[in-house]
Parts: sequence; C-alpha cells; structure tokens
Amino acid sequence: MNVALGRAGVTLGLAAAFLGAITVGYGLIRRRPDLIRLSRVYAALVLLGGVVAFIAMERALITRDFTVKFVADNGSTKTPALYNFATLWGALEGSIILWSMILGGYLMAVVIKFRRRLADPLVGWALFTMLLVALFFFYLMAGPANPFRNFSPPPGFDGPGPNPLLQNHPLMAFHPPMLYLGYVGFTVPFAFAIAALVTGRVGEGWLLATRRWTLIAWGFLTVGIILGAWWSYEVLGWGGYWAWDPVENASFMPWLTGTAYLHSVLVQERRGMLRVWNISLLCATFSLTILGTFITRSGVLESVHAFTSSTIGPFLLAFFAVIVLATVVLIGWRGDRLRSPGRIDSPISREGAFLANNVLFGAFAFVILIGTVFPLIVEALNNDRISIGVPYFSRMTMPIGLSLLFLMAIAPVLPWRKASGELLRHRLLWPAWIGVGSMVLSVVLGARGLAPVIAFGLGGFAGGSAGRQLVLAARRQGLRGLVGRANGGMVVHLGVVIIAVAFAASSSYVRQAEFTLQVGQSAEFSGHTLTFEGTNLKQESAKSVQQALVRIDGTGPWAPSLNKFANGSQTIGTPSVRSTLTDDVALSVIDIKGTDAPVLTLRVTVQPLIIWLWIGGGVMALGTLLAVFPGRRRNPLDPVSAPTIAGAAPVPSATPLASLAGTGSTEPLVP
Amino acid sequence: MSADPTAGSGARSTTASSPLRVWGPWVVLVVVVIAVLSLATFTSRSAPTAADRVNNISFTIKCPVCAGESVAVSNAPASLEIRKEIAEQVQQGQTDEQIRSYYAAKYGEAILLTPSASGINALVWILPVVALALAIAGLGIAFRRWSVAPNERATDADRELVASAMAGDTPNEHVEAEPIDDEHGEGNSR
Amino acid sequence: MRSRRGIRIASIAVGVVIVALVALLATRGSSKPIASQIVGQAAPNFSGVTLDGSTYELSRHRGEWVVVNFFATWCTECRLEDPQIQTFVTEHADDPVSVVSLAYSDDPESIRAYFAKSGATWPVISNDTGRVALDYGVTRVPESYIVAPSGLVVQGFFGGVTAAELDAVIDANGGMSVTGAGDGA
Repeated sequence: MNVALGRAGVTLGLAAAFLGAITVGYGLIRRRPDLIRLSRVYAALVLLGGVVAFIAMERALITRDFTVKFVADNGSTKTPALYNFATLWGALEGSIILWSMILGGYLMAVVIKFRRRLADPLVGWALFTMLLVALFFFYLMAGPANPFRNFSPPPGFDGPGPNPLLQNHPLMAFHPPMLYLGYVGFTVPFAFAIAALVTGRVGEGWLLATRRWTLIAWGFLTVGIILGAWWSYEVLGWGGYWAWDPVENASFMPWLTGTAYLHSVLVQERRGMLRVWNISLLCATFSLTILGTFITRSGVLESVHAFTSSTIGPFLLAFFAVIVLATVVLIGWRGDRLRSPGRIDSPISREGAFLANNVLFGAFAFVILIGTVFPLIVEALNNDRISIGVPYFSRMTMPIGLSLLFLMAIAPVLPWRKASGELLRHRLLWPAWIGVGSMVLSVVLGARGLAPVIAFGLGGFAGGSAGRQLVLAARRQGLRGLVGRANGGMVVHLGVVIIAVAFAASSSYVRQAEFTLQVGQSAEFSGHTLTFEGTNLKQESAKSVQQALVRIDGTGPWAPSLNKFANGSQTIGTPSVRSTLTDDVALSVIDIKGTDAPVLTLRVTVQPLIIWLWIGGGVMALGTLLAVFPGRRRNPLDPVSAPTIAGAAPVPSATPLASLAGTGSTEPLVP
Repeated sequence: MSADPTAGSGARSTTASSPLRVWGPWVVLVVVVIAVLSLATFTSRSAPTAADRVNNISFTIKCPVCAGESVAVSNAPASLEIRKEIAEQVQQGQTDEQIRSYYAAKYGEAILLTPSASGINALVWILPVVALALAIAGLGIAFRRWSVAPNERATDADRELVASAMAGDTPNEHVEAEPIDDEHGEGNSR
Repeated sequence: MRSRRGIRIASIAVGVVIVALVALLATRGSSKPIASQIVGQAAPNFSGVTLDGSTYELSRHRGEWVVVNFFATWCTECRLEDPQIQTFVTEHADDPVSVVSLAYSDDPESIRAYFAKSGATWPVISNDTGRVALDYGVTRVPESYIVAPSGLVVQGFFGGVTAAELDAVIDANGGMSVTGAGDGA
C-alpha cells in the first residue's frame, strides 16, 4: 500500500513536471499567455506528488512497514520514533524524496508570490527552469534511486536500523532539512537568472524580484551548515566541528559564492555594473550545490559524512555538466546585453570594498575546490595517491579569513564612489579602539601566538564597525533601525565576528590528552580536575550502553559511553561534553577494562569558546531574519548615483540612499 | 567621539585641528598594536611538551582506516596504535620530519595530510596564490581602464533603439526601467 | 565589440575548465583505502597468546608457509571465510603449511565464544594485536598475507580467502619444495 502510494506520488510529480515543462515552454515560445499561466496548476501537482511520496515513506518508516525495501534496509523496530522519522533523509533514496518535496514547495511559493504576473515571460521562463529541475529529481526517484521498491520480508525480519551515528542526537532531525531548504532555495534565483538571460531582460528587474528569495535560501544554508558542525561536534567524538572534509567543503563552497553574490548585487543595484559577474556567481552557486550533492553521494571522495555509495553519481554529474554548460552558453550569447556603461571611480569606496570582497571569497572558494579535487587530479595524472587535509586548508584559508575580517571592518563605513582619508579616520577611530582593546584583553587573558591575537584584534575592529552602524541607525530610527537589509546585514556581520573569534580561539588553543584512571582516581588537565567515579550499564531498545561516570571540577557526573548495537557491528563511542561560556571539556571513552574494578582509559579535549560558535550562528540567523523584514520602503527605480551625462556630478537622492548606506543618516557624500 | 556625522567634513575643511590632534590617537593605536603583537609572538606560553609534540605530529598523519580523519582525532584501534608508536619515537628523540617520513615510507604518501611541496604537489600550494595574484592584477587593469576610458556617449543607433522600444515594437527587447518590471506597482518587489 | 568578445572568450575558457573537471570526476572510481605496502617485504615478526593458552611466535615457523589472517567476529566476510580456512588447514595437516588468525579490533570474549561454537583447529590470537595489524598495514578485515618459508610476504588478500586461492599462490611460488626443516629462527 505504501509502495503503491509512494510510486503514485512520484509518477504524479514526474508527469506534472514533464507536462508542465512542455506546456509552459510551448506557451513561452508561441506567446500563449493562457498556456504559460497553467504553470500554477503543474506546480501544484508537482508539490502534491512530492508530498504524497513523503507521506507514504514516512508512514512506512513509522509503522515499520518492511514490505518497502527502503524501510527494510534502513528502518528497525528498535529505533525510537523520532529517529525513524528522520531516517527518511538519513539514506540516499529518502533524501531525494525530501529534496523533491521541498522543490515542489518552492515551486508553489513562486507561483503564489508572482501570481499576478504569471504570464510575464520572465516569470514563465523561471517556472519552466524550475519544472525542468523538478523533472530531474523526480526522474531520479522514478528510476535510478527508487525508494519505493517491493520487498518480501521473511517472518521475524527486523531491519538493521539507520547508521548508528545517525541515531545518537536530535540534531539529526534538523540539520538535513535546513540544509536542503538552503540548497533547493537557490533554485529560485537561479531560475530567474536563466529566465533573464533567455528573455534578454538582464537589467535589474529579475534581481530585485528574487532578492529576498536569495537571502532566505542563504539564511537556511548558513543555519544548515552550522547545525551540521554542531552535530558533528556532539556525535563524532573527537572534539572537532569542522574537518575540511570533502562533504563539508561541498556545502561550504556554495555558501561562499552565495555570500559573494549577496554583496556584489548591491553594486549592481546601485550602479548597474558587474552584471556578467553576478549572473555567473549565482549560477555558480546553484551549480556548486549540485556538485556538492554529487560528491556526497558518489563515493569519489571518501568522507565520514557521505552516504553509502550508489549508482546515481553519474546522473548528478551529468546534471551538473548540463547546468554549467547551459549557463555558459547563455551568458556567452547574451554577452553584449550584459555590458554596462558604469565604472568604478576609486578603489577606496563601497564598490571597491565589494570588489575586494568578491576577490577574497572567490579565492576562498578556489582554495577549497582545489584542495578537495587535487588528490583526484594527481591520481589521474600519476596514479599516485596523496591526501590533503586540515593542515593545508588551515594554512591557506587563514590569511583569507583575516583579510575578510579587516574588510568587514572598513567596508560598512566606506561611502559609495569615493572616500577620503579624514572620513575613514573619523569613522573608524572607535572601532579601532575596540579592536586594540580586544587584542590587549586577549593577551592579558593569556592568549599567545601571532595569528590568533591578530584575529582577536581584527574581530574587535569589525565588531566595533558593525556595532557603530547599528547604534547610528537605532539612534536615528529607533527600533526600525534594526531591520532592513543593511541593518540586518550588520547583525549578521556581528555573528560572523563572533564565529571568527571562537574559531580562532578553539583551533589555536585546543589541548588534548589521555588518562588511565581507576575508580576514585583524579587527573588534572588544562585547569580542570577529572574524577572517575565508576561505570554504569544501560540497556536501551537498539543498543547496550556502557557509561563511564566522570566528574569535571566537581560537576556532573558526565557519562561518555561505548554503545554496542544490536545488529552486531562495531562499538561506537558517544562523547560527553561540558560546555561553559569559557571553554568546552569533551570526554571520550577509549576503553573500559574489567567489570568489578574497572579501569578507564579516557581522552580529554579542552577547547576554549566553542559555545560561541553556536551563539554566533544564532546571531547570524537573527540578522538574516531582520534583513528579510522589510526595511525602509524605497522605490528601486529611483535615480541612483550613476552618471547620466558624461562628466555631470551625481545627484544623490536623500532618503533611499541613506538606508542603503546603512548609517540611517544623511551623511554627505564627498564629491 | 562625536555622533554627529557632519563633524567629519568639518574637520576636513578647517585647519584648526593640528596634525597631532588628528593623527595622535592613531599613532598611539599603532604603537600599542605593535607592542601587543610582539608580546604575543615572542613570549610563548611554554615550550611544547612531549605530549604536545605527539599531538602536533598526530594531527598531520591520516588514520589509515578512517575517512580522512587524522590519527589525533580518530578512535580507531589503528590510530591508537600509531599514536603510541609516535609517542615512542618522540621519546627516542626523532624529529618531526623523521617520524613523518617513516610513515610515508610505510604506507605511502597518502598517509600524510599535508602534501609535500615537491613535484606536482607543489601546484596545490602555488595555484591559489597565482589565482589570487591574477585576480588582483585583473582588478588593477580594470581600474586603470576605468580611469582612462571616457564616459559613454549616446550614439544615433542608441537613440533609435530607445525610440523603437518606447514605441512598443518588440515587447521582449527593451530598455531597463520599462514598466513591465513593476507592472503591478509592487515597488521594491520582494 | 570588445567586451562581447571578452565575454565570449571567458565563457569558452570556463566551459573548457568545467568539461575537464567533469571528465576528471567521471573517470574516478570509488575511493580506495590506503593499501598495505608489506607485500614483497620481510614478514614482521610477532608473538601472542592463543586461545588455548600457548604462545605463538611467527619466527618459529620459518621454513614453512604461513598464512597470517586478520579477522573480527563482527565482520560478515570473515565469518564466511572461516570454513574455507578450516578446509585449507585440514587439507595441509601433514604439510609444512600453517595458519594463524589475529583478532582486529574485537574483544576476547566474543572471539572465545565464536570459536567455541565453530571450532578452530588453528592458532587464534585474540589479545594485543593492534601493533601487529599496524606492522602489516591492515586497514580493514578480512585481510590475509601468505608468508613464504623464506620469511617474505608473497601475497596479500584484501577480502575473504578461499582454500583454492591459497593453494594457487603456494603452487605458483614453488610449492612444498622450497620449505626447509622447521628450525626456529
């Protein structure tokens, strides 16, 4: 019954996407608005298909219906209900169901949002593109990655349950959906970019229409990545939250290009420039999400986060190739229209800062891409095998990160077009004091080492600059000074600063050691006292858990454990972490010998400021929410500061520019 | 600090502020920064202990049975054995390089998490730097071209294009700010 | 127009790079684990206590063919190869050929229980095998190495073994004629 229902949903979605693409495409080519408007019907059907497939699989998982092969492979009577629900996206085929349903949701949302201009070719081509993407993913579900296959369970059959590492922590239920909401969300601006290229309307219209969509998708991606880091930290047991692992890199690259895009579109809105670059960035972001999906599912690069390898790799790679080549061809074709007459007068200006921002983010993404792909290149050329791991990435990305912090400090105070030395000196004085103050504070508290201390100083500098903007905006507009794109952006910057400082501290000052303790024995490490109190054996539905009870500085007892799963595979350790605002103490059991007088071998990892990573992530999410909230209303078609006649002075219009400049005041632009 | 943003331009136009007043605070800041950074760099917390050395080396050796983790972070039995072995070698007085070469000889280059800087592997270190240099050079050229190139002047062909578009000849080819982008008066369309 | 040509050139360049990247990714197989380099080198000596309490040392078996087998009770393939190993051992009961199994990342109780049920007639070492596994470069189980009477590792098996495969390797490398009298090292 579930198989039939699921297959029906998949078929419905597939047919709707296929017929929708044909109908809307035909309507667009033949200029038949009635056909183009049918896109809303097809979008609704695609969503319905995705939802039906989702419900069918969840029903099968929750009722442990082993006649569905996916449930037989991944479900179990012993898994608690929450994890059974989340098992849908814990294995490959189910994750495609989630992707397709979310894509259907976004399709419907676009149709609703643009309901009054469905016949507009820009919207029409965008929906056409989205229907094609939906067609691909539903095809995957119908063919190569079919989750709804029949299975005849022998009597007494019980499935193996999800991978033990996916049953350990509630974040399993949140990280993938958030990540997918981000990945799939980028389909919308991408579709509009394609539509703009196809229709030739490559001005700012498509950009403005999709501004909020891009920001929301970016916000979800940010939250998804941070939740992923948090989950790794809590579950994998090695005190790390970011390992520059290929799957992590695959999710980070579209985030980097997406962030670059969010900034450089401001230049396009203001000055009409950088059109080719912006379209390329956006299409690159979407392509990178598909490439990331490929890397996670193809087994080409080994990763602790990867799905078990499967046969859909080639399909995803082909889809990636098609998207990139289509984009490249379209941009090449429309190249002349994308030319813009503006120019940037001075590198020391807001435009110049955004250009520098793009160069740095581009370099960042390039470093990650090449570090991830280089072992494959070497293997192809030499048949040699090399590894590129954390040391490479840390060394190469650190200067980029520090430069970005510096840029974050000076860019918000730079005016458009041109800045003068006095202006910078005046505006940056207090942020500079805060920066130096934080540097001094960190050294007083014991921090050493050139790079981390520079990071703390630059963090203070950037934080001070963002704070200054917020204070000025709030003074001028009260609470309204905290919402809107510019002000929300400053809050996001604050979140980034917090994360940067926490990252610098936790990676530079991590200390780790192993201790062998008898019951009642204590050990001293890095300013903490650890006391082993005894062991405890618990029997849970899916596993038997042997806990080691350890007190940290008298608090606790904390219970890191060894889990033996019922399906007989290796023992998995679960760490226990004590988080305070100053540092995190992570305990991990290496071995417990003996039962009457147990001897514990314990690994302790102490890292400062870890909890601020998650707090910073929360601040970034809050900032995104504030940025999405409509700020000061302005008509984007107001004259901006591009020259209208050669040589004429620009005419700044009062209020609209002010909210863009983010100061909330009418600071005179220095001519 | 004055919250009044117009004070900035005020300071520029008058000569009443002496250079000391304008530059003084910044000089102080720079001096403090240099002092703090020197302190941070040249007074380290303590010399690395043997355990720290073992840790540092372990972070650069890949666990042979895991998916990309270093032996420092992995709990696999192979990693634990390698860490014990590294500890013994540190005890015996081997240098970091010797220990790394020992493992590279035993398992192949793939066990080192940092590729050596020789041969084709040097590319992975050089390429990003080259790419960054090229990007900055490209920007420099663009700025040079922007500062010399004259502003565009409207040609007759451009005027004709505008005229025909305004006349509504070809609906799909038009100039920016044509009403269809805001057909429904949505203003700052979201 | 200059910038149209510039954009065309840039598009083509990007297209070429992407095609190269896709070709690279398409031609890669699944990533393989780090393989042992021990084949062709002298077999590292080791010793350990077997399940029945006696001490086993590899060097004492110099002059015979030895199959050094790494396994774990939680690994299905290992369980599948056990009958094959038993067949091999029984076949060569009177030959200078022997097998020794070492546990890999497993606890002694499970091993004892497992072999109590299945009955192994060859030495099984269940404790302190981590260093040996490292010496042989074992990355996953089951993994076996054939050591010639000279002490050289002639072949590695990454995955389960069959009696026929083991025989084939021994025959290909000289068979019983290369064995010496089993004098201790």
